[in-house]
Amino acid sequence: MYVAFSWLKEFVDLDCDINEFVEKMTMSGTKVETVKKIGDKIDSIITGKILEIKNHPNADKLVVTKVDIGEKILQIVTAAKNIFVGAIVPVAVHNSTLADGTKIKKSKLRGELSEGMFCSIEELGFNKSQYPESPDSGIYIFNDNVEIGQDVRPILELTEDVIDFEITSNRPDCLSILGIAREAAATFNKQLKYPVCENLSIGTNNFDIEIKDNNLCKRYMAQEIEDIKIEPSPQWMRHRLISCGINPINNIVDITNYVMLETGQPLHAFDAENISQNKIIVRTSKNESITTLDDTIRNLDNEMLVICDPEKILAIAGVMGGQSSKINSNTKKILIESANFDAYNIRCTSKKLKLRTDSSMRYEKCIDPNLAEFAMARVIYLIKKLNCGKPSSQTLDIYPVKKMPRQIKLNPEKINQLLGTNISEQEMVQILNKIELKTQNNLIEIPTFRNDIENDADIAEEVLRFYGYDKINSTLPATNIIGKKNKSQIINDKIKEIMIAQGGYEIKSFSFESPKVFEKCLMENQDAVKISNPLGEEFSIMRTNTINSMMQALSLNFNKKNDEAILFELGKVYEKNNNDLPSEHQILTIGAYEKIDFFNIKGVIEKLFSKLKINNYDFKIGQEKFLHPYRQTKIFIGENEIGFLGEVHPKVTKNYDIKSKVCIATINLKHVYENTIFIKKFKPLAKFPAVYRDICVIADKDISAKNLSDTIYKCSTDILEDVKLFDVYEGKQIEDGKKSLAYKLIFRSNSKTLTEDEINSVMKKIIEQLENKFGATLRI
Amino acid sequence: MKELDDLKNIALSLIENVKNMDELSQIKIKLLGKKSELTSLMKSLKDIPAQERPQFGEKINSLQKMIEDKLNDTKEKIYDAEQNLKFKSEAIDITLPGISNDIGNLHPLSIVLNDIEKIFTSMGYEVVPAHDIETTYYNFDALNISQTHPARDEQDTFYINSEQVLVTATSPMQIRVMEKNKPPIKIISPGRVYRTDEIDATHLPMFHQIEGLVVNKNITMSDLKGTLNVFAHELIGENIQTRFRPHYFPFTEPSAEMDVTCFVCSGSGCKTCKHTGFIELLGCGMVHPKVLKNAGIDPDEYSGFAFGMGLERIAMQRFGIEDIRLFYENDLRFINQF
Repeated sequence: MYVAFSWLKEFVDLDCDINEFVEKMTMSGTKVETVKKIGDKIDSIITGKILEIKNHPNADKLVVTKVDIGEKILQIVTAAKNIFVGAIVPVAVHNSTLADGTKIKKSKLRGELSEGMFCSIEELGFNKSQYPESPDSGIYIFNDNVEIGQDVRPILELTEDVIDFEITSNRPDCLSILGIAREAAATFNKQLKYPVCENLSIGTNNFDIEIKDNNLCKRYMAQEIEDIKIEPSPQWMRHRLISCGINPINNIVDITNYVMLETGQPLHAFDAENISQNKIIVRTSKNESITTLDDTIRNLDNEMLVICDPEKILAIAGVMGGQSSKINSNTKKILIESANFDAYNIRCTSKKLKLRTDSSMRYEKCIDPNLAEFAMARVIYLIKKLNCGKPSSQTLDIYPVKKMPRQIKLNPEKINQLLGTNISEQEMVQILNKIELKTQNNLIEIPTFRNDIENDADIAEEVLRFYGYDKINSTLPATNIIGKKNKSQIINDKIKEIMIAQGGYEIKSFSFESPKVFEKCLMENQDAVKISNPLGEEFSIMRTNTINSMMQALSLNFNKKNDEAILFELGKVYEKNNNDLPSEHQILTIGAYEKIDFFNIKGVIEKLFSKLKINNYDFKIGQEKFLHPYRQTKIFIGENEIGFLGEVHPKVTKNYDIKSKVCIATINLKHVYENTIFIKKFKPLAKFPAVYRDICVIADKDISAKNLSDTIYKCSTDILEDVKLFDVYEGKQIEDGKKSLAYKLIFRSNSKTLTEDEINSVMKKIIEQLENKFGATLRI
Repeated sequence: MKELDDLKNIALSLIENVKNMDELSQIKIKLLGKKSELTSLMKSLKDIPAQERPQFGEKINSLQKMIEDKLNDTKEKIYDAEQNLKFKSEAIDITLPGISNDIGNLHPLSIVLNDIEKIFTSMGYEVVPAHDIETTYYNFDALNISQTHPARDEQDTFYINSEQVLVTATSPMQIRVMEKNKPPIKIISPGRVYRTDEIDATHLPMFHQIEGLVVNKNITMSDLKGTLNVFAHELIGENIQTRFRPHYFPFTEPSAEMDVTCFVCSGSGCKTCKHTGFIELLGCGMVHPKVLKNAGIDPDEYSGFAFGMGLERIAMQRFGIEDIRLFYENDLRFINQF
């Protein structure tokens, strides 16, 4: 809500400067977003008098002028046609700025020096409706009595401080100068001065008004005005409208807008001669259409509230009027509407039509029906004062259920208890009275414009706003609770720690993605949770897996030529759950490209499990379509499949524009949470020395290393402490179809020092077993 | 005796001319070995008249000792010299870069969230993660956002269907926690939230919030103020100032926004803080009596406060990040900076 500071001062005698005003209003709850001057966009544009106009030696359409700007005389080349010797014009001098941000510099135009530019009203940031005296096209010309060499802004009345207030949705009363003035008066302990109004005479007129649904239209006031003289409104009114962001149109429309800004009550003026049969019907639309004032055809559905005559729709109630009854230069008789429409209906209409106006944004916040009368009285006063018409009848007022003030008990003890303060009842009453909440014997009368006040807590806030939020003490709540994270949160933290220690960089990605990712990742389409009103197709389903997110992050880094690294994400996937809320599963995703391969990531996962003391994990051959068919594995904890690891299929990497091998793994953390062991027990350190033996065997290529090592383990359960594979080799010196595997075996007894014989006998058994089971031979 | 003097001179000159360890060991054999002159002199000791024998013997011994000492000294010198040569040949360029395993990095949002969680757990708050998808009851109605409230507009909320939404704030967790637990309640609830904002430098359709809730007997607005003052000072620094301004949220009353001294200009006024010296950190207030009642807590017996803050915004201010999109691009050059 924009408000010109001077306008506000008409309602309250403020003697503070703008900075103090902004600070105190913000602290009492009417937050100021910004303060700007309406002419802030233009800079260094001054008045100058044209002394001489000569033809340009090299250009037919240009002239060379001499301009007096007070301190010196400039030469300016221009194509403008409406200038003349003696004209006082806006001159954009060297290094000046136009409204659209253009910087004006000295330059040569067809060989002639030009030290600036003359400006049209548009170049100053305005238009002819705001400055009706400006020419249809060409340079703006000032009155002869304007002094030269002056900043144009004060002359065009552009130096006003305009304050932008942030009005919260519970305070529609503050979408008006009056409402803000009421807050300002209470903040600065001043008296609020109401604007002058006409005394209304409620009764009948020539019009018949029918309201079909009193819930959608709670009040409808109408006033006929005749002898209308349409002309531009006075400059002071136009400037106020401009400063509040409203374009001046003509005196009648401007007055309705002016009063809307003052009071917060939207008003509309119909050309009364275009209302058939002098009858107004307020009803919902029947899938009709209307051409609105902005020259757009609007198709209306059967819920939208409209103002009609027996033949046609005149206006979309509370949103915008129609062309058919628009005020034009020939209008002689008007009907002023001051009504109260249902907030929700107006909001839905405005939303459906994507048409938000100064009127609809007020109605949709639920304004006070009692305001309609005040606004009507003010409009009639201004119409008479500006001499643009004459009320020709009484004011019609259809108001079946009058809204009455509510009463709430003042409960000072409860208020102090909630706030942690010690404010006296007397002080509370004083504060409440300042904002027109009258009190009598412990009862507070809530004015009808304060719909938001319902209970003790609401009263507490009103008291506190003017008592001062800054006066509350700082204390800490007395509770004896221990702060903590739960087990899965602690494990999440631990996982991140382990991943980082292994060179992992944490990423974060969106929870939603495109349904196209399934195809992109060679996956079957999955029944994902769909968003019914997504920002676009690319964000329309909740992700069912994290492959696409990781591939995108890898692709970005690959294509930015960042060094290879391990990326990981701890994030959710979402699973449909019939009619219940979807399930949210926490997933660890790991990905890398280039030299970081399958076994690097496998190592990372093994280390992760080992650090979490999870021993019952296993890797089994996998068959995901989006992975390399022979370089992938399923990951198990106990009997539960918890994820996969593999080299991504080259078709998929190509879809993500990655020209490198990519390795990816995902782990559903549910089973990790369940199997992580926190309690660790000390195992005594071995007392007897270990004996190391290396063994190198040649076996068929397709025999898995795990089968071999499992067999070795089984040969001795008591003294073989560990088996470590340290080399796998295929190639020269090894027969085709075979591979060589080298193991380091660690023997140790926990009761004695082992003898050669004991170890040799186990070694013999191992070699026999490998030979018998796998046909493996010792490599010599 | 003359023989001894000659021997001594010969030995000294030999030792002096030794060039390496091989020569040294040969000379050692020559001077002290079984076939050496000294050994033969020792052996000849028995032929010397008994009277002179002790004196002569002593001289031989001292000569032997002197030779041994000299040899040892020389050995050490040669060793040092050889070692020095070896060292020289092993010279390295100490300006070459070091070698280390790559250590990764937390995402900046995790770093800030960790800090926030640490402050609150140390103040006795339990961490309860929020859901991403909620029913309209928890997201709206229970939080005193009625069917006709503007905040329910589809233009702000992502709907799954007429009854389920992507949460628009972490506040629905307030209701879940109050339904499940009896006061005293003291939790924070971090989570992802969703709004139908088009993506630009300061808006994303998905971001993170952290909700806080305290409910007990006699919880006051001054408890809220004290708690959030401690939090802000711990998070940002002891020297900052805070201020509480009135504001409006449907689920708190009275409501406030908390501002802190601008990170950028330290309060002197700049573009970031619109020349006010303050920037908004979070929204807060006393839990609305209707919300307490909706969650099954008697507002006449208990009161509470709640607060909510945006994680991205705090991280942007702390690290000086001007484009919110960077958080979800996952460029290593970005993540590695924090």
